[in-house]
Amino acid sequence: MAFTDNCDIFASFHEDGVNRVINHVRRQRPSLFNYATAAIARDPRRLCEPIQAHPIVGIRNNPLATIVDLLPIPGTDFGLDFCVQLSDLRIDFHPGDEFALPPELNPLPAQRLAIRLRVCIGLACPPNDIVDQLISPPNTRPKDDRQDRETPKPLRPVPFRELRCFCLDAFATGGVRIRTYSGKPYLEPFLSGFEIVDIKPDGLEAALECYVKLILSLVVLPGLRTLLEATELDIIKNKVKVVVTPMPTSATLPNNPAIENDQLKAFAKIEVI
Amino acid sequence: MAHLTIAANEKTFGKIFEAARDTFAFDESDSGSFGPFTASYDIEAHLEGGSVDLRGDGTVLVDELDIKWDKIDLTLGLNIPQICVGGFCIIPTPFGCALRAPKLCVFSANPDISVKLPLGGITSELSVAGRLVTRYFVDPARPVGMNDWDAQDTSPPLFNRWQIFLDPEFVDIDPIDVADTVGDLLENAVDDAVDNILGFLPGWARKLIKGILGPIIDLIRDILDIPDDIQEWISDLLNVSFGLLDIIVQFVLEYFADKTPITYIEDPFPILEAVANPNGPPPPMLVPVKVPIRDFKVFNTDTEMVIEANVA
Repeated sequence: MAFTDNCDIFASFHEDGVNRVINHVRRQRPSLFNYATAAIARDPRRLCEPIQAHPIVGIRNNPLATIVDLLPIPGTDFGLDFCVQLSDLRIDFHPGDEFALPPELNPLPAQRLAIRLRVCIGLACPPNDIVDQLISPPNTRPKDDRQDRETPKPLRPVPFRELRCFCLDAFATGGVRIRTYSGKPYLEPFLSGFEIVDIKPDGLEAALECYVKLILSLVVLPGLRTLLEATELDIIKNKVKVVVTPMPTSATLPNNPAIENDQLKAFAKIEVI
Repeated sequence: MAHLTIAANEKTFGKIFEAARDTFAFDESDSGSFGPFTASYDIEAHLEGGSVDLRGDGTVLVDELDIKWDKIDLTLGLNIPQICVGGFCIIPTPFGCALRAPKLCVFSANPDISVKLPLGGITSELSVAGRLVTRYFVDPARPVGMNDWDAQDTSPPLFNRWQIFLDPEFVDIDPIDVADTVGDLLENAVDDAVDNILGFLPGWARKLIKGILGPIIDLIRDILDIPDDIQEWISDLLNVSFGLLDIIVQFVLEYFADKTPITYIEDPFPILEAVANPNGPPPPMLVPVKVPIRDFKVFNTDTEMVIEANVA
């Protein structure tokens, strides 16, 4: 059977290649995978996990981490330094054979992919002697609500000696589908399952998983939609361009894109322009 | 199994071929000296028709592709032996000539006449069979040790690239066959040119010189050593002396097979463009993310063309 029996153009991406691409992105653009407050970003040795960046990152003076605001301590003008690092991210296309899924998500259904990710979080918790010094004296001045509302003070970082780090392993399952919005086809990822490993009590784990699923389904994944209409490719440089549109599914092409045989497969028709 | 597989069916490959064919344009001019005369050409051609066939033995046949010669202007520079009339003595004396008739010489320039033969509007047929191959290109202008990001930033870019060519195994081209009216065309053009040259002479002198010359075309034949079949001589001049066939074959091969790849991809291949530094400058931009491509290969069956590659 030929690749193009049911289409003009066929493309497939094997999970091994996709995982290598992810690794290249992580090394060349570490700021996509690492988030830290300014104090930690300036001194990456304090991060929970060491960052193995490509030499070009240092040569071009690119940041290792994206700088984020301090984590506020409500009721004070103090904020905590912290970092969030996506230290492992792997993809497994059906059948699931790249890594073991937790029982809640196993086995991986047909036409689905699984993602394993490891998130490490570090919080700059100060020792007690420093906390004692930060406790403010009683406020004897009359309270001025209007001034408090109109002039928010910048947060002051709480001094710290080291980060308290922990890592969470999480798994997600989902797929990729073509959906039409306002008459235009979009390639969009979707989430079907999410599992955080080893958080107790179970209620906390369930609540956290619910919250993360909502964030992913409503915010992150819609942002990854790709409009498929009139995707123009320069096939022969500066001479021939083609417009690629997805093949509609049919009895002979039941899934497009298809996730099978450890690959993500796409079937398209083209128009030469 | 390859990390990346892309396949295009034969119909798609044919459409891409047709689009590439329609962008083909050939424009060439040159001149040369061939003993008693000089010649130059100015030609323009484009491609039409033809078909592409993916074959089961892994080759691609581009069949019966028409080379449409939109313009073949052949200019011949002819050097006619100098002819002088007059200068004879009207009143001879024992001490020499007292009065001479005025002496007029023509054809003293080199070349004396230049005639342009517009031979365009003809068609040659070309067939090429070859195999799709990949080659790795490293720009010779790229300094040793230059990193891939600096190579991309230069103008023009000096990045390495994987290229796809049609490596020809067989090329067949019909010779340029000029029309059989070319003899009349040449005779009329030369006759007009001679009339122009002699235009400054009084009528009696023009008649005298043309009488001396005899039929112009016979004179040109004698000068150029042209055989009876002028059509064959012109064709031979274009095809063999100028080697236009070789030039067009070379150009087509370069277009499809040698210098001009069918397509190429950068290596490493940029998958994420440079974006603004989320932390603010400096630096203003983050480097693009590039993925090294290895084991890039292309092949075809009788139904489709397939490209495979791995990510290093």
